[in-house]
Amino acid sequence: MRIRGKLLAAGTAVATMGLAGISGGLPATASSHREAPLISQDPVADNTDVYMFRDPVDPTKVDIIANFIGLEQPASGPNFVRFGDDVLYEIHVDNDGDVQSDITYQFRFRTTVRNPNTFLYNTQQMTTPGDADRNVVQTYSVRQVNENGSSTMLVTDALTPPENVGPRSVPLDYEASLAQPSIANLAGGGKVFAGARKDAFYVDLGSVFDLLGVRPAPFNELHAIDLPAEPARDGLAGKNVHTISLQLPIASVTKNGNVPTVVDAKDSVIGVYASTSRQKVRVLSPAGAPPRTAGKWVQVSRLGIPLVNEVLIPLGLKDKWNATDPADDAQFFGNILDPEPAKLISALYDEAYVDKATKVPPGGATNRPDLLKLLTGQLIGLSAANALPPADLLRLNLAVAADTVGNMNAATGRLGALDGDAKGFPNGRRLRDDVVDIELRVLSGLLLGPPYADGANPLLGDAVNASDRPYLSVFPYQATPISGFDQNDQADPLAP
Amino acid sequence: MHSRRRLAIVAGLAMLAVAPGCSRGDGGGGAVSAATSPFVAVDPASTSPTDQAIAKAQDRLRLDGSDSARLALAQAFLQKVRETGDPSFYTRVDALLTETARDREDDPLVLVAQGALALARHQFADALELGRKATAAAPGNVSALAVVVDALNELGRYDEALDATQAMADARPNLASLARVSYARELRGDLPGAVGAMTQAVTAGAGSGENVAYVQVQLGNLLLTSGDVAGAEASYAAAEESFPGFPLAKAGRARALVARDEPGAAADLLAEVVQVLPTAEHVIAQGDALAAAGRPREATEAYALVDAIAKLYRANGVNVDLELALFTADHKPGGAAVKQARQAAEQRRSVAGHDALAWSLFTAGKPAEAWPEAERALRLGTRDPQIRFHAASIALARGQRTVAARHMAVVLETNPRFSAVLTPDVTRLAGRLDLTVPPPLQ
Repeated sequence: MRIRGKLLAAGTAVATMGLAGISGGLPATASSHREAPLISQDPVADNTDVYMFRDPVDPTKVDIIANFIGLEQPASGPNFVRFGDDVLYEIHVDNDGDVQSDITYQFRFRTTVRNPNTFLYNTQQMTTPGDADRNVVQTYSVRQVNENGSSTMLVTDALTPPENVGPRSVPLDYEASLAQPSIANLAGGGKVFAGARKDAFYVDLGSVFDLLGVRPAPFNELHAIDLPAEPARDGLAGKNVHTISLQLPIASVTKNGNVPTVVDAKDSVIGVYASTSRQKVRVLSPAGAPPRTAGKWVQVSRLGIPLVNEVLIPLGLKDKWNATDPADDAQFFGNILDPEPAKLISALYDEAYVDKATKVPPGGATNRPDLLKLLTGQLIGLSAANALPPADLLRLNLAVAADTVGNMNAATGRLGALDGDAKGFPNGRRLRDDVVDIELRVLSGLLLGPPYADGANPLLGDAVNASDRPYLSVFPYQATPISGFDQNDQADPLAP
Repeated sequence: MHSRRRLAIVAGLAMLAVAPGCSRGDGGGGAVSAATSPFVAVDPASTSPTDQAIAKAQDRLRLDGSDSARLALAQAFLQKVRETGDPSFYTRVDALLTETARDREDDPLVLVAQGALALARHQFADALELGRKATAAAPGNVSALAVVVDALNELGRYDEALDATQAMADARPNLASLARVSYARELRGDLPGAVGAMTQAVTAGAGSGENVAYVQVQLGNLLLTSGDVAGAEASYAAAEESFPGFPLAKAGRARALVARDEPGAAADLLAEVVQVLPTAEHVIAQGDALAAAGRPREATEAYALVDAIAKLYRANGVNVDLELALFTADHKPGGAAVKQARQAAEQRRSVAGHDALAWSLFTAGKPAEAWPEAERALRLGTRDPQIRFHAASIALARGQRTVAARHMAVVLETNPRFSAVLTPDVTRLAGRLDLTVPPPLQ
């Protein structure tokens, strides 16, 4: 949740809006000097969310989902956004608790324009993923790289589905005719899907990012800055995203090559993060030869737990954070374990969220053992003796039973562990887990017990409690992307 | 028609200069003078994201008076100048950042914003210091490195700039750093390499609106200088698609029209640009195109705006000596022009600074003094056709026919129609060197 999560840290949120979004560069004035943007948005390499859960249909499988390119408007033709051909997308798995990648899945994309003489995405109706009337075709490969450096190609020339342009371009059911046939099998078992989906995430972007406000009662009245109450709005409603979704045999990702059964055991837990990289560039070539892009890759983005990068790492340090690996996270613990948003919650909700006796917010590097537990796996079934090194990895205890497919869109249980449900966040992350509410409550000190667990803190949330589109009951689980034709710019945002 | 338009622009400039924004509400306090007030009227019906950002930041500033609101407003104002060319916002930005820095002097975000303001005002030594402070406060921060790179380039400290550019590219190969890699190569005359890196910048910036439009225009400029007019036009068109109404893309199309020997059409396009972005650069280009199209009266009107614009920029703290030096050297050659250029070149020992000084000395009738400056402008091997034309003119005036022919050959290979108004001079000089300007593409 990079794009929106950044703004959760509302103290720096406005700065993000300005620097990364609106004022992307320097003023262009009467001048001879170059004014390339100082900071550039990087949507194609921007990892927005990572999800991981045991497969609700096949108990021997685990699903890992990494989303990119946030806030896509469905009607963005003719040049629909796609994965970057210049970007290396990776999903890293640590299966022995040493915070190093034991298995890395690498995704490379290649775009072919079949007819460069048309600007159109398609020239006739598209009824199959490889339809000859599809003009812009993006294919990809998946390679597995192991810790010892050996690697295996799991699939080549897999097709991304065509964009869901509209009913004239896509006459048949999009999911059945174009999306499902694009799912590719991987060597060694498992499946992969890469393409557009309706974004599974949901949050009141406009209000939460506006100094952590909540539109409806009772929290609206508790905010330090008064605004009239109104219904919450899902900022991701109607928005698509690009996903790389993997469904893998559990036995292929665990250290011991089996399906774990003991909950309090290090080897039952895998830790995952996604990253993007671009190739290193030499400004000038050494001996006057033409400058070339070197073979090495430079990491430009990474994401694990839906909280750490966006909310806890200060803007000034984000470039450094994104260039490092979870194994290097110790240098950022000062920021992670003394979270600025916690102070902000205290400042903005003065009466509601501080320790009323001492007026002290739940901050300080030494007094957030709850967050340390989140980073070490102690909140997902590991005892202190078996705790893993703290790091920004989304961790899943595979000895915990899978959720059922019937629960995919359940109205209850959105709060995962806070609801006492070990199948949800922070034990992995299901699509429906309401990580915004969970994180707001955890940051306000809920897990620290009284006095933070009293009063309004256990009820804190943005009042958006589900996605606007139901998740699918089959892989890749995120909903069918909204078609460009169906984008509704006229919709009244206040409509219920 | 054109006179009326000109009057409108003059009136607009005057308003910008004297009455910079009626304040909306009194949240800034009654004592704040109009020129530094953070509160400007915003049309509530505006759909521009920048206007909305300004209104939102102002609302927040009224509510909580926070530093983060000030920083956000400063950034929105900087973007506003980018879109309108109205430099009165610089004074407001300065006041906002000075206030913000009082309690957050080591905050890298504040330092980067201050660095951006210093760059925009062409105060490059200050920008360098701010950029260095920002990189110290936030190691690996790419935008802080960008401030350092830009300042070093403009100061002519190219070796250091090269190292900083490599550090930036190593930290994050994104649009911002790849565009600067391209510029480093362009400065050194490596046009294919510059095109390659700028193409990478466009790819890396996919989907990011104005940012990607900016580098698409830069790519168009590089293609134009590479002799690929059609490719340049395609890139300008792509920029307009990325960010509809982008004035810099229109200005690019005008350059391509000049290269096609269609100055009349270019002038009409530049008239549209100037309506949105009345900067000296665009007004001069418009005047040049009008003059070349045989519309001298309108050209004079356009040129007459240059002084007013320059005054406005200076009044808001922008150093425009170098930007005006070439214009002055062409239109009012002589001692004063040389003095202005020398002053500019002393502050900015860049390729552009030395070129401006060389040309002002040449047009003042001092080719012998001009030549060492021309050599300094060429020290990195730039293939910029204007700089090469200047060098060729000076060399021939000194009787160095072979040297002149060598530089003139580069002009003909790149873009001999780099300036609407200089094309006859280019043709004449080529003729004296027994070279021929190729016909324009149709």
